Amino acid sequence: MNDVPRSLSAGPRQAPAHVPAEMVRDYEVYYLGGSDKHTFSFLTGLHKDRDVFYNLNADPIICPNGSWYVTSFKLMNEVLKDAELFSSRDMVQYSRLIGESWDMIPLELDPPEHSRIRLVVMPMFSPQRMRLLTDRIAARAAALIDGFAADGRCEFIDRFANPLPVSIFLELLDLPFDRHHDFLRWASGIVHSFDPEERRRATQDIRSYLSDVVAERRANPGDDVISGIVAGVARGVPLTDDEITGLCFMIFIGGLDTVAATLGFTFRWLADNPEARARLRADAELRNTAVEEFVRAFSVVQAKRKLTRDVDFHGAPMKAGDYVTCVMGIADTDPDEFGDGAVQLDRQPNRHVGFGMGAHRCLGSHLARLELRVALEVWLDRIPEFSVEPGAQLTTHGAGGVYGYDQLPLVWPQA
Amino acid sequence: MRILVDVGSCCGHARCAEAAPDLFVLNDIGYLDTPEIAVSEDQEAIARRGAGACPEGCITIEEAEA
Repeated sequence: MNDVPRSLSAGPRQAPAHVPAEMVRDYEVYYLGGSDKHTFSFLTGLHKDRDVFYNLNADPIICPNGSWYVTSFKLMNEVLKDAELFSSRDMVQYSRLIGESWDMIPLELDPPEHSRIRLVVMPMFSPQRMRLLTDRIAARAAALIDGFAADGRCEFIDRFANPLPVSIFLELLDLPFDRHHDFLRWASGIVHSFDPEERRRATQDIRSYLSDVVAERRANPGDDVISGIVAGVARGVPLTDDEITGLCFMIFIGGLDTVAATLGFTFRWLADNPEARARLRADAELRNTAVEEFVRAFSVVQAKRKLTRDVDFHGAPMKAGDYVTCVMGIADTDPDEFGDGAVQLDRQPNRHVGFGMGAHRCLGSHLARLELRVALEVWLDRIPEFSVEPGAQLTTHGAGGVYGYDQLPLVWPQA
Repeated sequence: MRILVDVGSCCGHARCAEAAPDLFVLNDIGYLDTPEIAVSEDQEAIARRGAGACPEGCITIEEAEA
């Protein structure tokens, strides 16, 4: 058991009767601790125990009575690839918080409905389409760095990790960058919080804002992602209003903070590893494998699945309606697949689940990879030497389901 | 040597195309839809690397008959 405070304020909880007592744990997986925990080493204790356990300290909104957790890479692959047994239905239930009933799409759909609708947006985020953004991302990264390089310091999350991916993403959606702090605050209320009221308010804010945008794009369509969704036709059938809402909401939330979170952990690690910085600066090929490795070593997301029927899953008596929580960082530090888990910039093969696995593999993964690679290239070219500001107290978040640093003050020698 | 792709299991990670872009050509949604890909002798090493990169395990290598 970790010696950290519970991130969740729920009262005493009890596992359902069908869960054997010896499989029940009360393990804190949403709180990473502070500055000394710049890897996900706090999760690795889980591998010593067993491949499946039942955690009382699960997402308090969706699983107030706990959830199954799988800890091995192999079993997590089984869960994520078997949509018939492990359904994505009801994974987040945001719309219910505001008295509505649309699904987050494609997140909360199962095949074949999932694939039917996902096909509408997949071409918009294909590797080929994303590659066309390379120069624009590099120019944006350079401009951001030029804004603070001479200072010899910056708060990395607010000055670089957030604005780089967010500005690119908002361009794809044709939404105003000057509101990005509002958007980030809304997204944070959902994916960085288990407070039901905060989540409800954030859901309402995003829902209201997107409703106006959808109406506006319907009247004046452009070539942006939201216009594409509004005009979307899935296997011959125009998308319904609820499908448009669910898709826009999903993409809005998904694009805002996961790249920033990964950049935070990555640059914290690089700050401590000068030799790796020098190698990455010199070697473009190494930057490709390194991006995969950073996504593995610092897997910031998790997913849930809901049992469609009773099953004995590798000794765990799961019942229909139970949830399984897949914390990607647990699978991605499994010693059976990844050895001691230390960062190896040239790791191959590297079949991590940082972008998920199976049909729900991250839609934005090709954009995320590109942004991470370009960020490394441009930053290391301009600021090759940097470290965490001495004495900085780093704090993290993990409630809500996405890990990240709150702030990361970096310093470097001034020219 | 040839590459066999279980195209129904492809989930569009695009890791194969990253490792060997000339061999693994993705369709317009970023997926593989070619079930068989011929491999010349000078491409064998890169073919293995591309196949090994697939997180879904949907790419296999069939060695040429001796």
